Amino acid sequence: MTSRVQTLRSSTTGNMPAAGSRQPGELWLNFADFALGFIDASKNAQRITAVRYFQITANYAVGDFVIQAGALYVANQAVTAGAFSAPQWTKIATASDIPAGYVLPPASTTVLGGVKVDGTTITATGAGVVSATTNPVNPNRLDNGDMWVDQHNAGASVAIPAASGVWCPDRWGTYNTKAKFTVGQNYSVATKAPGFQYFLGVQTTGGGAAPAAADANYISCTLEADAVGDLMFGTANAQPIALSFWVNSSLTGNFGLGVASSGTTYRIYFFTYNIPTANTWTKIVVTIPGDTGGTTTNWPNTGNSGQTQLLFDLGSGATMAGGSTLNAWQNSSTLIFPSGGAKLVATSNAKWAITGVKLEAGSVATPYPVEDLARKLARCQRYFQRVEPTFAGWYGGAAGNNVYTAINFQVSMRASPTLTITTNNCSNLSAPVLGSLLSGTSGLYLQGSLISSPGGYVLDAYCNASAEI
Amino acid sequence: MPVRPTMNTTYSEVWDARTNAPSTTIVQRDLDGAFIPDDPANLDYRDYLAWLDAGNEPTPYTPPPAAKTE
Repeated sequence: MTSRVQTLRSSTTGNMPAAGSRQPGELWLNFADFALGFIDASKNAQRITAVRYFQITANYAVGDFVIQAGALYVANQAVTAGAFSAPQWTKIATASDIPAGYVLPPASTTVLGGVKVDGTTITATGAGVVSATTNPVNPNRLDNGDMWVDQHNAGASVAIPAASGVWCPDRWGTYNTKAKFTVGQNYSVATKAPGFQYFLGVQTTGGGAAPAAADANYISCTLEADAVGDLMFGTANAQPIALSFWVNSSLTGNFGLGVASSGTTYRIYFFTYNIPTANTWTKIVVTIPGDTGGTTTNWPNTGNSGQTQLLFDLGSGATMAGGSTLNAWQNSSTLIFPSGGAKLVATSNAKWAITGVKLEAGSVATPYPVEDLARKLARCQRYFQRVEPTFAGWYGGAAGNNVYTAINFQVSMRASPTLTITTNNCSNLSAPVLGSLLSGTSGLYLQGSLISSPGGYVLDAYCNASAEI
Repeated sequence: MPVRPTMNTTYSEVWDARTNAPSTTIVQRDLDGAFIPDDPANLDYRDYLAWLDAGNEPTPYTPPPAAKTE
């Protein structure tokens, strides 16, 4: 071919160059029917597909595209000049078939094998399933798993008295028999787990010592029945659960952990988790089968009573040693942990910390969910909250009469709460006492007796309401 | 509920000003002064019931010193 631009024109309709009549690379054009093409390497004429508006003066070959009345057609036969004849054309699509942003087949069209789109649903016949790729984050059944809420102690560490326990942070109870632990939010461990700003930290105090047989030293978090009833423990339909958490300790080795029912006799599944490196956060992920044993007496699946306990052993005595049967549900008359293993209580100033604790339905541990702060706090206030019943006035009646103030709880509580009253300022009133609870779980009123009357009175106090479980 | 170490405490009656008699629904824990309602779902109330079952009785309410009228 030559390198110069050629201008070709033919006014003869359908005048496609004959095979071998032109040189490769040449262009050809028939003005009359808008046919455009080039000569390929075999000297054959090739047409370039063009879409034009249908014209009654033009002839069309099989495969020609035209637009007629807003629709796209392709010729299914040779078409001679004349009026548009629908049987000669196959309709490809109209604009309304392709809405903006979507490419979907027409309704009730089988698009692939047995997969059919009917306009509202996608169905599949045969053994196939319709699936979608998702990245779920299951909700956490545990409250305050990231240890952010600490209404009880406002971030202060607490030495646990002998034969007692403390809530720190909210929803997490630490118990010891011999005053061996101090616990606190972000206490004892110097670093933080990846992605978490808060943790529950404990440290042995008063010197380490091996636990006596009856010593109980552990951390627990208990869920009420209505929070986990859908897991159907105690039935043939019990669902598996996944437990995940970050842990850090100055000790290494296998530590005891258990999941147990509440009640007078227990169903318990205990096992160990390993901390391979001291003073380093380690992610632990465990899958636990649903308990098809036991009964709904062990696992009350409705109500506000305690149902499922998560228990971390800090070094309990032989009475709570459960033997060597790990990783299986079993009956027990007491809470038990794996025999042997690491005992935090036995080492002076030993440290242990945990955060990002998540218990979820299913056999796959998904990422820790992000919750807004108000919801996180409200979840904990179902079990503990502080209210401030400040009031003042003037009373003209007889001394010895009572004045009252009503306080609504910020969140309805799990049960009628235990109330402790701390008085900041109390003038001309006897020590205030709990008068009654409003509907049990929604609020309370305090009463105080006037010391001198007529006269003014002031009460500035706060109340801790606890319905922990 | 968790197996909690037992609180070594006694309990006292609380005066109900509305009925002018000891409360039948609230008791006070002497260890920390906490007021405990009679809700079976309240763990502290369960402890109190166990304490009663052991043969104990709450301390009767003692009225405060007589008020004065100015």
